Amino acid sequence: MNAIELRGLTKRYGDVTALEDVSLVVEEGEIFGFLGPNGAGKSTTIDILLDFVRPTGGEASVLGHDTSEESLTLRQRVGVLPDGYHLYDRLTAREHVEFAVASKRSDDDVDALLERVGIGDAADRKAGEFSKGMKQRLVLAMALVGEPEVLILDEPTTGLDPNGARKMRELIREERDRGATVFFSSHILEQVEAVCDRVGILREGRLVAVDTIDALRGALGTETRLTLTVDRVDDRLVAAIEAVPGVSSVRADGDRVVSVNCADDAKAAVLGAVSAVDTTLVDFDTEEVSLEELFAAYTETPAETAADDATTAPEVGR
Amino acid sequence: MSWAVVARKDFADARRSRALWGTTGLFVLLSVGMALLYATVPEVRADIGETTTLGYLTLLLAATSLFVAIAAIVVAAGAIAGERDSGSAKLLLGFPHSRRDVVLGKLVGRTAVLGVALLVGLAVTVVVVLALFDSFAPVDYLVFTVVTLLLVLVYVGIMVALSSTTGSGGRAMAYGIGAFVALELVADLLPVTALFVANGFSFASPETLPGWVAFLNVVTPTAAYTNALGWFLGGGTATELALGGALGGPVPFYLTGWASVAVLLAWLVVPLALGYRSFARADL
Repeated sequence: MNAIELRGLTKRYGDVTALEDVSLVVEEGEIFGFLGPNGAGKSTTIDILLDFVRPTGGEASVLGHDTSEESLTLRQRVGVLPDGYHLYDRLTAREHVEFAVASKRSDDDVDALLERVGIGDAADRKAGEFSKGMKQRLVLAMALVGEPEVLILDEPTTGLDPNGARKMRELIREERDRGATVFFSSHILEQVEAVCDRVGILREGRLVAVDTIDALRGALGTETRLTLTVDRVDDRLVAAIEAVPGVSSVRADGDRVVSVNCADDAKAAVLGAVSAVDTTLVDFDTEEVSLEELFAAYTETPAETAADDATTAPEVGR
Repeated sequence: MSWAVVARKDFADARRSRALWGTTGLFVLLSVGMALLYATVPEVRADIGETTTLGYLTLLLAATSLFVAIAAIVVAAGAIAGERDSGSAKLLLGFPHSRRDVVLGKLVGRTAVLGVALLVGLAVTVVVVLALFDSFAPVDYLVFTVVTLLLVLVYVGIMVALSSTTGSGGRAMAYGIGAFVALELVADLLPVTALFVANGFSFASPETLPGWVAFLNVVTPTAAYTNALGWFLGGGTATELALGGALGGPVPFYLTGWASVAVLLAWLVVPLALGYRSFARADL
């Protein structure tokens, strides 16, 4: 059985389309990263999984339970860290987790859970006094109640310091090793890369890619950035480099430095073009496309970032 | 019993809010203050010379119904809309609670808050009554308490119902105030207007009150509460006689205290059913 299955999921608010025909399968036992810029439809998808909102078209299921028809059974087996939640300011951390335990009719050790997320010493403090990071940990503790088979975490690292974010990733791995499926959304690829088996990228309500990070990198082609230091940058030089096949962008950084994005196998030709216009090459440096650029390639206008290959990349998930 | 988990959480939360302490304090002041007034200022007792439980409760009744109607707005109008507004509804409904359990849990939790305020007030007042009054009628006092708790349940129910129709706490509060104005003020014009229309747009008053006009007089929650108490307190013979006189005949079943209890129950069930229907379909 699949942990999460979306079939042609569509959600419209009036004439605004939040999700358009999204189909996706998340298998049991995997850590799945759900990526996209803010407003791409990540939270809408999660809201549908939890029956907070009803889809306009298509269907969704978690552990085989339809999200609308069998929401109660579904939520009994799922742990949730929602986006834009608010805690009960007058209740203590312990009372929050106790509420979660009573709601799930489980027999979890409340103190052990608070200890596990790192706020054991704040158990009897009221949630209203908590920092954003502590609130996030508390809601995570509530989500872990009842050893859920699927964990749905919406932007779980929001408000956490780097150390807290690392702890969060450790916890996510521990839960996967226990046998849980983890579905978590983020607008930052780096957060996802470290732990995810696979990622799906959402853009303006459409799923544009689903694969492992390595495969996504491959699909974009091995784009390289060349940084050339020369004795003099002029229009003739820029024009000569732009004319080389495989070059996607050329940018002059001051009088002596040129940045070139190009296909991996076009590097030699670029260097050749430089000497062909009688410019002296002082130094050069190459680097692989960063995750940030990879993400941008999928979520921004393709022409701006990763030229030829990006136009085919959105087909990867289909 | 998922609603019980929601209700317990709700009450635990409200227990620490100023709303509970404020309403309790106010009602203690109200009930004790009126008891002292009744016992010490003879003019308040009108024609009856001695201080009786019945006389006091009759005096307290109008003030209590007004207090309940206003306190219910404060305590319960934000019950569901407030949680949707702040985002705690996402936390609540991420757990296996149905929306029906949430509505029921909120009804019970908020009724408990206002009910506690009422019970504390009436308990403290018993001391004053025992100390200063010529007599104490425990049965009347108990009947008053029970029927008043029913009014609390009804008014909180109306507010929870309104609260479940919107995702904005401010709007829910506005609906609550609107309902208060409609039920407590505008509804009083209903029987007079209906009679005016039925008489061919003339104010000529009939010799005896038509039964249906008398019914319209006791159709709001507060009026039904007042009628029910008039019927059950002190045996209710006075009310029966007065009503019978106005109607020029025997009192029909729909004007009895039990009918008024039924009216109260309808005010409890119908708004909640409609509110739940809207909440069940809503996108949070």
